[in-house]
Amino acid sequence: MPREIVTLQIGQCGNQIGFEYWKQLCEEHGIRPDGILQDFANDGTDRKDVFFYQADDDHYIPRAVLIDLEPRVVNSIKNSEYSNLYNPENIYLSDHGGGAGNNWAAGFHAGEKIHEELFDIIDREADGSDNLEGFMLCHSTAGGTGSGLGSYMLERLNDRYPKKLIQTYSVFPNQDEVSDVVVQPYNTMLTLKRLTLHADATVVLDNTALNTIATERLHIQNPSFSQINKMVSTIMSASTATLRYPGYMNNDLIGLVASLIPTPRLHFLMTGYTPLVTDQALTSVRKTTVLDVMRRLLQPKNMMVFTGRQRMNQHCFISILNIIQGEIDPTQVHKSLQRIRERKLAQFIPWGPASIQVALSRKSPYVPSAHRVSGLMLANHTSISALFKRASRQFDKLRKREAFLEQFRKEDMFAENLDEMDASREIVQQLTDEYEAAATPDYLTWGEKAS
Amino acid sequence: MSDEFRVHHCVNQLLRLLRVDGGLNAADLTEHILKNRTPFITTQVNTHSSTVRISEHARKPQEFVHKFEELKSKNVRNVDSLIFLLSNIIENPSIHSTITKCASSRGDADKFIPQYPPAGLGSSLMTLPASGTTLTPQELVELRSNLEKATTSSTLSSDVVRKMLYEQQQSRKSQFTTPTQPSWLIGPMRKINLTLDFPFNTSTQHPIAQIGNLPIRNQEDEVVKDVLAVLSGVEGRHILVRQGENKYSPRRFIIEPSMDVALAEMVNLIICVASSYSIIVNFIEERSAFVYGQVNHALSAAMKTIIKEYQINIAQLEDQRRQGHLSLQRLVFLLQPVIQQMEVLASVASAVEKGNCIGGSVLTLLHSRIVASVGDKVSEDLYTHLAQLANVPYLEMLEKWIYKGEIVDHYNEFLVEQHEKFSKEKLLDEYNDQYWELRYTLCRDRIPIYLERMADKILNTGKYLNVVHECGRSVCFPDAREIIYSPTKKEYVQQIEENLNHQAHSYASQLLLDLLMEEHNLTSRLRSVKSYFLLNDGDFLLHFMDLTESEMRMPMEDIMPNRLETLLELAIRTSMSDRDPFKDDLKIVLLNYDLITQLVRILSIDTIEESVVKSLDPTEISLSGLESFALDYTVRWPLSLVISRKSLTKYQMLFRHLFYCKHVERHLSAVWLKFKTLKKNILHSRHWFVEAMLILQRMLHFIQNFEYYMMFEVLEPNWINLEKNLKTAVNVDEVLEYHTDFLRQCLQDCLLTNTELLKMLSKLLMLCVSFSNFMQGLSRQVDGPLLEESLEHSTLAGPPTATEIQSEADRLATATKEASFHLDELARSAEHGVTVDAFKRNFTSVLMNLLNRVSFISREEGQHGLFNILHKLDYNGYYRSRMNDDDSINQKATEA
Repeated sequence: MPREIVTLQIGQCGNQIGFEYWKQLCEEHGIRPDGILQDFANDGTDRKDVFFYQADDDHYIPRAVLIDLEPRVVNSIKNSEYSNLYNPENIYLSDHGGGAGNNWAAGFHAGEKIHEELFDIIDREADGSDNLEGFMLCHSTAGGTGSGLGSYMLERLNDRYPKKLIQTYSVFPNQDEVSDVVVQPYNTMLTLKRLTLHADATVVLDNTALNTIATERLHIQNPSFSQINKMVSTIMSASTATLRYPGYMNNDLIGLVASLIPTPRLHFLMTGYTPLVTDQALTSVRKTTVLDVMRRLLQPKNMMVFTGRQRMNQHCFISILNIIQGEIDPTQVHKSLQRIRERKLAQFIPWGPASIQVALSRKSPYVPSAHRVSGLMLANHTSISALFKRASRQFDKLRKREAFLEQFRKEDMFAENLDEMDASREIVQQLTDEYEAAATPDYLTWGEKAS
Repeated sequence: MSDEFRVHHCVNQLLRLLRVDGGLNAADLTEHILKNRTPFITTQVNTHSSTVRISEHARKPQEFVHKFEELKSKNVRNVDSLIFLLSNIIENPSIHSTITKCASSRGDADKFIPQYPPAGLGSSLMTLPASGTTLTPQELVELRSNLEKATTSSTLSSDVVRKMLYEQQQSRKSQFTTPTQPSWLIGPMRKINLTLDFPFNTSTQHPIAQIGNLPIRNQEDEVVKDVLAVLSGVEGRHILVRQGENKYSPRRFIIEPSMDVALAEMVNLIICVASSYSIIVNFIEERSAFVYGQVNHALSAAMKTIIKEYQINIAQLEDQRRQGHLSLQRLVFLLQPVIQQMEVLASVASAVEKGNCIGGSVLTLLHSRIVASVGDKVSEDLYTHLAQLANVPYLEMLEKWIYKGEIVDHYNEFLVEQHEKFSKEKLLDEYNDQYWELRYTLCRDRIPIYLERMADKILNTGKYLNVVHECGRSVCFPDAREIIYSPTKKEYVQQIEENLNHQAHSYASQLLLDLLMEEHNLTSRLRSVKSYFLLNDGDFLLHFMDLTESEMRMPMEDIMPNRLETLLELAIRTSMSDRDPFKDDLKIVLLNYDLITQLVRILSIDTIEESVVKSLDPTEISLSGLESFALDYTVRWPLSLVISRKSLTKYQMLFRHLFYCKHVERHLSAVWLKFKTLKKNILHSRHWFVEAMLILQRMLHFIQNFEYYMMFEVLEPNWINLEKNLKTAVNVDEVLEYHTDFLRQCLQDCLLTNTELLKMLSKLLMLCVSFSNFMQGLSRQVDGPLLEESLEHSTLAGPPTATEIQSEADRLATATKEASFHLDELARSAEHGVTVDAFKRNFTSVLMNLLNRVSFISREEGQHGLFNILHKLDYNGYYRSRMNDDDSINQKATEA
């Protein structure tokens, strides 16, 4: 009776990172692209049934639902060597195949139309598991399908499965470069409202930071999508490592997430991973120690959310969970924690106890790694408010000019007025304020003041 | 260990006897004594000067010296150390006066004197040389009684002794009965003339025949005839024999007074041989009885062969006499070498008899005789000859023991004693079973003196092999050499030592270690136990808790163990543990006491609270499944040596503790899950709601970090340490020690050995549970109508139709409205705020108390492991700064 997790991949971006993620999982568990277990992996001590189930012919099928409104990415998956891995019934492609045209409203509206078909698939997956723990949703906030349809799915999932956890891996657009999607700020804002109200934990993946890390840390001049996605899939697989390689603690999703999130809305998590490697550039192998890994994880430049460095001092960690993989002596972890504590390398909230929690996990024996120890940090940090502020600023700029709203007005939701836009802006403002308040000692009384 | 208890017991007795009061603690004294004890080395003690010193002070020095020599002659052990002790007491006036005072105040102290069996004599004396401590007076009393007993026992007739021995053996051995011997052969009813000895029987006495009237030549002839008769155990006509004081004192001979003086003198020169002969023959006949054991049998047999030669000798003399070649003069001359031989034999016989020696002590006696007779070639050779033969059966036993691990000892002679009552089956279910310690023990007074130094090694060697043997495997020491007794060679002891130490002992320990480690996979066994009891396999436990959620809430009586058992198996099969080859050995058990009660009870043993705790009736409290649940594990021989009931109980305690923590964490997570949906509505920003969520967060933080501390800072490092140690362990005793250490350390660092901390901890956990119950109650108020039925739409009923969706949406809308109404009400109500605040204050204060105590204890008692809790639970120094705040506030308050 495993605590199963069903993955929903929505939109172009969602399917791309999902594809990389499953590729990574298959490698780690010794599953061939066609789903058959490799001979060498027959007596492994890992748990595959959290994310996979076995078909009648014993090949492993991911508990994944692939949803897109346009066929390009999904077709490329279907044409890859992994085509037979997925359950074909779990792939939903819109009939007309036109996509959402980068319009949140279109994606959301499409969701209302295809509701039944989608939930057929999801219900089937849910019923197929003994003890469903929750859903993992991969999407981006910029485009139309991932943000719009993703938002719709969040609302519905939350209503239909109120007791299940909903964790999202949300990719935020790169704000350094001019996007071809002009309505991106609208899309992001509308999605952020749903993430705030309907998701239980959101792992924020900021394209700005991902690109910076790729160029600065990995020395890749023009990082491609697949390189970025590779990084994302590394993070996703590391964050689920304790579920797949059980040990003393953190063997369920709730155990990982609950202590990270103090009040329900403060559930936007930053990530960091070290050491990062790429396929192309063989970076020099360095000696990794637990202390080294844990110290690097605390450096803002390794954080996969761009928050603006100058503001880091006023902000602080609400909670940290480090997932350390490899052969580790627990006493080393202890010593590293002591060192970090003595040198005050991490700034914590003043209004309650907080600490660096550590989950130790094994590494996959089948994926050769040059490094002995690797670590993922999941952190709830108040500086994430910078991200929301940035999004709000961009939204406000467009909204003031009422620019590019024609496409939105075509859909029912915005036909009469643009209230939904402003309501979203309001919620995001509340969220920003709450995060800012959490950095101060009087967070406890913040709620009173706000209301 | 048992040694320690013995000392403790002695100290206790001593305190009671001396009526010492005023804060003297027996445990402290014991510790002191054990620490300061020095081995008693004979050469350092000048017994002679000690005796002189005592006799100077004694009121009746003659009697004392007499007694001392008597004891010495009886070969009683440790007489020297006693004398040394006594002289020390006399030297030290303060102790002396204390004892005198005590003795006079007590009057008839003899009543209180504990009666020790003679067997305990040697062992109780082992602690003696701790001279200069206050222990001495009591031991003195004890010793006195023991000595009294020893003296009286020597006056018992041999028949009584035999009977005693017989009964003792009967009671001890169930499978072997000492054969009885016909009453006409031995005992008071024996046929009186069926002996080589003089039949000292008054009824057959005949009057002495006159000889003085015969001429000298004829007289001599008669006397030679008579002497030869007397020498072969027949009374002569002119020389009569009378028994001495007892069977082993020299015989009296009555020589016809009218005999020629010259002849009579010559007779007197050799007649002592007859006396010796009588004693020896008497000894042989008596000691051949079964009860005296093999060593005595062997000794008598050796003597018998010598006697046979002697008889042949006599027969040849008789022949010469008939041919008229034997004059008395010649007879005396011919008998000269025999005199000493026979004297030696007789002295051995009487010494063995006097000391009532059996087994090892016979060998000790012979050995010391050999040592004492250096320079006297004849007696040394003779002693050596006797000792060699007498040693044969004993060394055979020794060989069997150290080469095969078997004891064949029907007469309780061997230095290792087997106790049937400690059977290996009991290891599985008796907590206090001490199979390993007590199944085989050394019996100090049975050790031949020359083996004393190696006794422990001998014991261990055999013990290891015995375990292997008990596993049904035949043991064959490849290098087995016969052990031969040869005292004259100096290297003898080294030879045995080498044999034992470097070969048999290492072979045995290696064999048993291999058996446990390789054949029975001790390490992977322990790993399996660890994965279940110490929750190393978290997914198994998670499934199990998911499956048994409802069961755990039921009262213990309503739970069907079979059902739990099935669920356990299901959990194992669907988790990673399915790969564990030993998974079938895991069982469940429902205990009728919860962990805290169990621990408090164990901890309160030997404290003032014991009676209070005991008076609590466990049946009054009805336990839920959760509280009474524990895992159990089937362990088979010989692994039960290591994973005994005692260590399993410790594992169980750890398990229940961890299990409960996991349960609390689960409870709190469930609340988190319940309230996560509330982020949409107005309650979200209410002060008390935020507060409640933050307390929840604190509790989660506490429980997760505490779990982390226990698992990764206590269990795992200790486990790694244990595995490392097990690899280097060279014998099973070390393995046992490492394992016990591991468990002790784990229990201690998990706060399970300190009542005070334990109570705080359980209170914290209880607070967590009651808080989550409170929150669950709240959530039920919130979503009462909303969630329960409507949302869990049965997907099995097929896809919902459009109308269904519509009606569902309507229902949802109304329900939501209702719920929001409830929410408004909730949000406004102030009483929840009060409750939440109370929880907060309570939790924080108990937690801060705990942290305070832990830091105090870790500082005071040097348990640095505990310090890690502080860092873990208060990583960002929140509680510490709170404490400082409180302190400064308090200070201000007091200043004001």
